Amino acid sequence: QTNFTGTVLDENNMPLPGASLVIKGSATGVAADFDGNFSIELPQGNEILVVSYLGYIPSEFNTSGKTTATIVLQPNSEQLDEVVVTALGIKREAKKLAYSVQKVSGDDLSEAKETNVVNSLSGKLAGVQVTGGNSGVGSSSQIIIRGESSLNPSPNANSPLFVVDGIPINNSVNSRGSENNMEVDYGNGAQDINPDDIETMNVLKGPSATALYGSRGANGVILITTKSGKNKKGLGVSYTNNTTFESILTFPEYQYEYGQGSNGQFAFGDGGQNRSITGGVNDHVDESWGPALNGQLIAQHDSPTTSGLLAGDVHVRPRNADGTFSDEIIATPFLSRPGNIKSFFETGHTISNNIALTGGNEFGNFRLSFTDLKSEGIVPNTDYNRRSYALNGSYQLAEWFKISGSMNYINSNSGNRPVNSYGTENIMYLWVWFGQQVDMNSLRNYWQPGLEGVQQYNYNYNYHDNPYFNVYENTNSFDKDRVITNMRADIKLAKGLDFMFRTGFDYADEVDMRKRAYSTQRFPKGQYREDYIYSFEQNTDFLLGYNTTFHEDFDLAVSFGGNNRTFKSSYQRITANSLSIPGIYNFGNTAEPLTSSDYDDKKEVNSLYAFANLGFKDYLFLDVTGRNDWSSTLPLENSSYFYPSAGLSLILSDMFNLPQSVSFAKLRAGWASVGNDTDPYNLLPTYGFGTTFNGFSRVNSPSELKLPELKPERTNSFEIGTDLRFFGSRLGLDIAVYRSITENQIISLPVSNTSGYNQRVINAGKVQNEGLEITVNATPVKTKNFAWNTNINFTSNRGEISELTDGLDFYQIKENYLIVGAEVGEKMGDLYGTGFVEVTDANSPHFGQWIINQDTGLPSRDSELRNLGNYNPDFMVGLQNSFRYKNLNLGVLFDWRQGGVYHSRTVSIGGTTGLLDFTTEGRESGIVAEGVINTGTEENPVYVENTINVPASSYYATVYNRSNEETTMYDATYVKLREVKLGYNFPKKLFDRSPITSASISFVGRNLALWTENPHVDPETISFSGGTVVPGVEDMALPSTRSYGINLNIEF
Amino acid sequence: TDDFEEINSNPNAPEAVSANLLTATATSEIVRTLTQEGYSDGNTITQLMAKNNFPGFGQFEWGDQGLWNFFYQILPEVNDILEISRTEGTKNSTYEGIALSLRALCFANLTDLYNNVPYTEALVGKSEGVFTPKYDDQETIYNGILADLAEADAVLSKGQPITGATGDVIYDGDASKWRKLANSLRLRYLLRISKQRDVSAEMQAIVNDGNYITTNDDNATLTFSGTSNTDSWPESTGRIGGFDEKSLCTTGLEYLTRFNDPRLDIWFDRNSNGEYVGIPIGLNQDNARAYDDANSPSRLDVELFYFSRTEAEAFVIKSSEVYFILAEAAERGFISGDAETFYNEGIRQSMKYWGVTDDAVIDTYLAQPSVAYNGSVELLMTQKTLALWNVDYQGWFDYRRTGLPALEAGPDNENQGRYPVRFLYPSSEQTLNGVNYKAAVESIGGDNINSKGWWETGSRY
Repeated sequence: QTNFTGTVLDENNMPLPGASLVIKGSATGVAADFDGNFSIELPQGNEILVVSYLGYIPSEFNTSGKTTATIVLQPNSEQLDEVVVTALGIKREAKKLAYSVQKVSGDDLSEAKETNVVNSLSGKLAGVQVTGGNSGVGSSSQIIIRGESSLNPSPNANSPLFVVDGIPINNSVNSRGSENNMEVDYGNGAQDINPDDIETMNVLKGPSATALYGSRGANGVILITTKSGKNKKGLGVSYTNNTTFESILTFPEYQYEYGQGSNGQFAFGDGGQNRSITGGVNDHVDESWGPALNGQLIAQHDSPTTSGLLAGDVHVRPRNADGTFSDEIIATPFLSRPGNIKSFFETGHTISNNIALTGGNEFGNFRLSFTDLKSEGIVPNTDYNRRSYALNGSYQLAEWFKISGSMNYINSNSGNRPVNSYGTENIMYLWVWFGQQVDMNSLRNYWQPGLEGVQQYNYNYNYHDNPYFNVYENTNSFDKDRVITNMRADIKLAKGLDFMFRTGFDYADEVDMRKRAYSTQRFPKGQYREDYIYSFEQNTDFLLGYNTTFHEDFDLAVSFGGNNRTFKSSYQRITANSLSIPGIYNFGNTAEPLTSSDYDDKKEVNSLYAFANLGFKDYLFLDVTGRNDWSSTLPLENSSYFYPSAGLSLILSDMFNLPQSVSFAKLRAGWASVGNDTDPYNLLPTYGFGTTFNGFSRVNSPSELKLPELKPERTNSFEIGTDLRFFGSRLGLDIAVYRSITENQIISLPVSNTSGYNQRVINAGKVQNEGLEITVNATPVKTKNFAWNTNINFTSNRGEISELTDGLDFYQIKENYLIVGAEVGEKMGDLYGTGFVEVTDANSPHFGQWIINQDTGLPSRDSELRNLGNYNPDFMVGLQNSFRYKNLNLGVLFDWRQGGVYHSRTVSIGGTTGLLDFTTEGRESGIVAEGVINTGTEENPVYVENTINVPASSYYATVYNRSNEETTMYDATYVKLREVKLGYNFPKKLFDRSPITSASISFVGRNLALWTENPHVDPETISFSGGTVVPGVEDMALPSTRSYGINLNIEF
Repeated sequence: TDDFEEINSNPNAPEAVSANLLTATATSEIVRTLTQEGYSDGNTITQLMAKNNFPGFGQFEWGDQGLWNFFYQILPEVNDILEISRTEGTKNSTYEGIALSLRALCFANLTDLYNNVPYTEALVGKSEGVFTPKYDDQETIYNGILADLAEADAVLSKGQPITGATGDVIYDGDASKWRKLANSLRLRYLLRISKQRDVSAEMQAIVNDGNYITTNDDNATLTFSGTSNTDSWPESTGRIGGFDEKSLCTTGLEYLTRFNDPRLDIWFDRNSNGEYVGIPIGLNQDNARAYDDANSPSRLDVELFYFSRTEAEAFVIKSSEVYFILAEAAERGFISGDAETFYNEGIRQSMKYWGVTDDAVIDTYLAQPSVAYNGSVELLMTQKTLALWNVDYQGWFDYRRTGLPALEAGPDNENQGRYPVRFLYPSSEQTLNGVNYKAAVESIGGDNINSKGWWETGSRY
């Protein structure tokens, strides 16, 4: 016998504690200690050690002639033994699972960094659809896994559950307060998670994978594991800097030939306040149907006056007793200003610095990380900042007892978030109604002289705010503190018997402040409002697990656990609707009684669950789970609900002798049934408080009828899939087919308000989602110096409404201009709106053409709703290629979305107001609308080609009329160059004499190019309406941006 | 799970409330909305006012105009007041009368604006589980309205006082005044259906009882306190651009100059040339703007209707309207009495309401040949139209019933020159109550703005 000692290291020369070393041909072996060190007695003649570690290629090491050695294991890139995190944070070998788990590594997220980590998933995973928000850095992103199944209009109804280190966190979209055009997107909850602290993200799709999360897992689960100091010895320091710039990707295409006015006429008088006294020609008109921009002399808002002021200084210019001005405007050239509106925008930038300390010894480890992210948007004076503090540690108190925990504190804030949606408060609104002669620079000084802080200066005073005034004076700030923490104890009770206890919470506290200055159109005496939002969710769970092997061929793991979830939230709003002293934003300064509203809610769910995994011969695996929930939100008699799941996984390549080219083949099938509860207080209707009126308190009758006998929702799903790998895993194919049916949905059904209610809560609806997901992985080239990897993922999902409730075949899910409707037999995501009267006789040669009104020469709107298409894509494809040449690597990701439609409000309004480029056509000659005139009768129509010429302004005003959505429906198909990364790992030998252990730099770009039908806006769009997210509608969206920059990483 | 029921009990809002809190909502919202509508679209459709910008309404580019939703969403409050007022322990006949009057007022507006609407099956979602109520014809609805008002008269006659805050922004819970309002509304609605039905006995009975609004002191008005945007004159809280879009209409200018009317100066401002100039209704956007530039039409009085939060009032019905109702009823022989006396008093009440307080001035006005009553219903209706300034759509309803004073569609109207007689049903009814919507559309002859209702197609005169 000889004693042999050594160390097992990974490819980065980090120890692999627990690596197994077995003497070949025997059952004798040892495990490496925390530092990867081991010592083993080798019997004579037995010199081969089999070294293995989960996730690494097992290696045979010949010890002959040596007494000590360092053994380096290579990661198993084929990932046959890949370990993934599954429900409840349990790590399992991917091959044993009856469903597919997709994993995104932290490096993938932090290199080409998105401030909102949800956006990083875009295009990377089959079955996952991400739609980024439209209000710049800090916007909400919507993520949908395997299609929308819920008929509930809440922005969170179809959102997956996010879990950080085992603790569910809040991902709700925070867009409150649509009143007075102040719809502000304060982001979705998951965007608080710092990409630098993420070790991995595991995406569990569908109930089979998520059954143990039950109620909350029906839309999929995203498990986030934060980085730890595991496997690190001694102290390590890493520093990462990520600096990116944002510039405009899509921007409306404006015309630069005609200026403000109407009928070709314009002259500034007083900006439209009282032109019957002060003269002016069409200066109340905020559209561009005015004179051609030929440099002719016309009185304008920035023309000087004989009193030495500007014409637009209407509140300080001298006046006669009858109200007319006593000075004269000196006309100035009426000029074309290409690029004028775009010049308002700036180049945004995001700078993120992260420093992390890691360390450990054989008993424990820690990681401390601090990240500071500062971002300024493309809209002046808008920003988003985030500071993240993360601490993660564990300690082995005894061989049988380990404690661990993590804490994340995140402060995010902004001095000003841009306003969304239609209305004066959104700067994009200011530029669908605009005078194209207005020089943006003329608006930079936004106070009238002597009236600083009291009266803004603008080109138009009857409808609009000065855009600089808007962004510098009327701010929407927020400041949010969030703590996500967990504590955990793992106890080994006996061999194979483990007990885990964990508790953790997600706490968030946010203050939003909206300031409105004097002279704001909607708030002439200013306004100040504060919103306080608090939420707290605590989850406490335990799990008792037992592992055993019997009859040699059988592995069995059984577990039993429970969870208590306590949720509380509150919302409070106080508003001073006018201010006594301009510019002082304090409730003490209110000029009228404060108004306020207040809402608190509470919810508790208790759960018990058990599950078993049975393995046979390492190629047949059976999973069974069961969970029962008791929810406080349901009526007591219905508050308990049970849901089971079962899954089977067969490794064909281990069962049978397959051709050599097949490296791995697996078949899987899973079935699950999960339930869902509802929001608190959904059982009894209540009265609402109104504002006081003439001193009387007011209340409103309930507008929603509740259902005291509410039952839990139910989702049943079935999926089958296969995982095939060929040619030494150089080619991989993963296919999943699923069907899920969600029924008994708890929905607040809009009802005819003639019933006395606007909505009623019911159990109804049956939505069936079917889909196909294909992922292809290939490594076409792999040499020592060069490698090319390609990944293609394909997603296709169809959601169909198979049932609503008795007597109901249409349900209006939500509305923002268009109605998102669910019709029995139709698809989820159908949009309903109005169009023009057309020839409906399919046999007519004029079928589908507009019928032109012979009095007006224009088409007329048909008030009957029609189906204008579906906002969901037919399919989505992500194409990811990565190349490595020596230390250089390049990654390119294309994101292709095919099909679906959306309505563009920007084009609709910009068309009627003569702002967009296409409205120059026909300005001089007039336009003949394409269509036919009925010269016969209604019963026996005779159609002739329309020949009536109408003025361009009338034509565009009618055809692009905002209440007629059909004209501005666009194909939502796009291809985006989503991500490009060019990285370089500095050779290690460069740092031989320095404390640096590794360094890399990469040049990264996101959303660099877009190909789509409508040139004016980005089709990747969602709109906000009353705090609800409405897809399929582009509503005055801010221009989408591309970002590019540098990522630098140094480790010590 | 023992404490689940407690956890799920709503701490935020009550499950039951008292009548005064609902009365405050119902009275304030109904009166305010009616007048806001009258100020803008009501005055436009009777051509006292016209828009110089965004003139779609005057071109008859109409939809549901939002009033359907307003009335059906305030009716639950009204119904709740009624229920509370009839429940043991909270019984109060004055609240009962208020609720019955308001219910009648809301449904009269609904059927006058939309023709057939849900009535007998409306608002019973909770009690009877009907969420897709059928539409009733106008006659059925009017039978109900008149029955409600008669019952209101009966219960209000008890004069039960309300203790504590009344919530009533109109009469502060004065049962006798509410009784006058209920009877004035009865007169209004009886006259409305008088082409279809002999209403003389009922009208005469009401006149004989004398419990109706006879002076401006009894008017059903709301005076805004102006403490917040909510309880201020609505136009005063909007953008100046919105105010500035409204001008004097050429038709209204013609009435007011023909009568040499002091109300012209009260409602409108002179332009920079010191003149009153009107703008026709029914011009399209381009033409309205061009006309506006060329002629500088007069704006509405900016001090009264924009800068002051409290000076302009909102109202349901005023004494002047009641006298014009009586004048027409007398002229048509429905009631006894002298039409000219009622006519003159109608004018006098209107003048006084708008601040022309000198009786001598009014006497001189009445003595003018253009004003002096000559038995012409057209003259009567023209004066009534002026007295109905800002009173929701009453002038339009009278026009639809009598054709007087004659109104012409504007040059760029989108209705082939026809003067429209109703609003469209809201599109939500297509999706939420489709079967009944279709039946109603069938029954009224199409969901378009030209389908006439029951009371305007009668043949008694």
